[in-house]
Amino acid sequence: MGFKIGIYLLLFASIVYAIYLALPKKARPFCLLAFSILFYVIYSKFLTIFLLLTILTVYFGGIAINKFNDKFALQKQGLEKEDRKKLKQKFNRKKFWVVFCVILVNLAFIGVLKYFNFFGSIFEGFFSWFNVTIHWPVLKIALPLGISYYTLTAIGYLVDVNRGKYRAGNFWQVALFIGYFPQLYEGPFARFDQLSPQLWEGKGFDANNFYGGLLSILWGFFKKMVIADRLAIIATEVFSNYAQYNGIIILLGIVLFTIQLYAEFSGIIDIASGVSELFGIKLAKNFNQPFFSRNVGEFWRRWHISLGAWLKDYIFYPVSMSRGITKLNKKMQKLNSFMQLFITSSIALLAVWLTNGLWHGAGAKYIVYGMYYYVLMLVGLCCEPLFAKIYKKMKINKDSKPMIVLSFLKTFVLVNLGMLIFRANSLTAAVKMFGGIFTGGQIDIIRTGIIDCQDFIMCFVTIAILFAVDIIKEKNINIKQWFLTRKTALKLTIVILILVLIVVFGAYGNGYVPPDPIYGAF
Amino acid sequence: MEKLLNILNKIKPNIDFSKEQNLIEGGILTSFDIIRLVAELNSEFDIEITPLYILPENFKSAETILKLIEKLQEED
Repeated sequence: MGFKIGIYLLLFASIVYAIYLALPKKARPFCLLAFSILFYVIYSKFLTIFLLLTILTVYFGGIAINKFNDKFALQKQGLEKEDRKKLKQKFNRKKFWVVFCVILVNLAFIGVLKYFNFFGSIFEGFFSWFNVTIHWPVLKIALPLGISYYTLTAIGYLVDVNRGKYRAGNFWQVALFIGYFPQLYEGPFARFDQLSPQLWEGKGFDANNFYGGLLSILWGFFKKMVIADRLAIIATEVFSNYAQYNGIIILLGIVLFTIQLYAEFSGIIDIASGVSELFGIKLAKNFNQPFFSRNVGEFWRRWHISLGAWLKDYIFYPVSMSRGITKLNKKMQKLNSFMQLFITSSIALLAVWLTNGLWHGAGAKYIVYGMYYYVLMLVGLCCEPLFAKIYKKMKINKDSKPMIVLSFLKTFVLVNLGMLIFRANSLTAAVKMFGGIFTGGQIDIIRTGIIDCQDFIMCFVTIAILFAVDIIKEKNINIKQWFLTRKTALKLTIVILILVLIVVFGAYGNGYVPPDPIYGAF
Repeated sequence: MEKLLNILNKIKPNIDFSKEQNLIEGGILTSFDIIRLVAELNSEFDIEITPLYILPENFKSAETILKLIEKLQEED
């Protein structure tokens, strides 16, 4: 959702909003569904077929599970406990195969469309070791909009139906839940029980939703166009031509990229959430001041929250509770509890971080990116008892303010190293850039010609604004609530002020090409 | 209850689980402890705790864990 698609979403949403409000309550959810499909068709054209196939497979999968549940409820009556248990196992097996097939089909779609060429390069590389040349065909096809988001959302829905969290919805409910347009570009990942009831409520105009939504949209555009797109000028240049720059500039490029990604991704989520709020529909929270994290584990609970929660619920717990791990746990009873925990965790976390890395992209560097956090997590787990002893012996209060600030800084440094792997053009480039950090040279970035003096100052002023807002939120002060309780005249003044700031200070205009969003069109 | 308290103490010794009411938010049981606890409960009580039941309200005290076990036994 660059500048253009951001405006496109806003214009599109404005038209939908006007029609939505004019319709009777019962017709409103269908209006959202029709325009969601239209939004998708305009953007992805014939690739919409993949979204429809996902909706259909997941819908029929859910219906099949409903039927098995009903049959079980009918047949179990009057049975003894043992027979009931056997019957349950029989139906569980049937349900498992339904879920398995639906997931397989959907993973096949994303596997072919997103990972086909990557797997090909692995395949070719593997055979080249044995001096065998294999020519893997290269697939040249654009990705359907948001396939990485809606596929996981759909899988989560079906798994929850299978677990008995709720009964499968009807076709329209499932279609709108998966295809709801504000969340298609960059998420967040939705949960059926949280989103679907809101979608079908058909809420009318509400001043709080209107102003609240407007504030989120404008703040999102401010973060994207004033902060992220300006930082991108420096970050893109440094990452593209790192060999020309010295240590300080490379370091600055990495740090500014981290902040760019935060401003951009959270900004786009704010726009999507704001658009949705206009319709009275609240999307899941995806960011919670991530740079106030004391360790990388906490960082991932505050950054891209809906992805972390998805991985926890649908990868971490199922792997940890699988029969294999349970058996392994029993075999390890002779080991001390810490070793048991470490071995079990290392298996479950490997699955989590491998999925996380692969989800971010089809490439070796994304797997390394996932593995980087995996190693950090394990090292953190290993060192926890050691640090606890050191703190105790040295009488250090780890909850004292200086120690908290130090832990924030430590996390920030580690996250920036992760971002270096994530953003660098290749793994080799990442290693070279890391080495480049330790070279000397000039510090004056203006003389490098990357950016002029005014823009450079603006970078830091806007970063200060971004962090000031985060500090206020971290102190549990609800800015939106404060805004909503002001008089209409003041609310409108604030709205116009942010709009003027975006128009005056936004990074756009002749000769400026806005960067493609990093998390966009995944 | 005694069986449950023994399991809990095996996983996390030196905690009075009969009194603790804030096992999750108080940081007494981590997600890794929960995994070990679930494995023990499944085999000891012949139940199947699926990830669906991994909610803070089900694991906040020994009492709520016992309620979950009873609920799953009834469901069978």
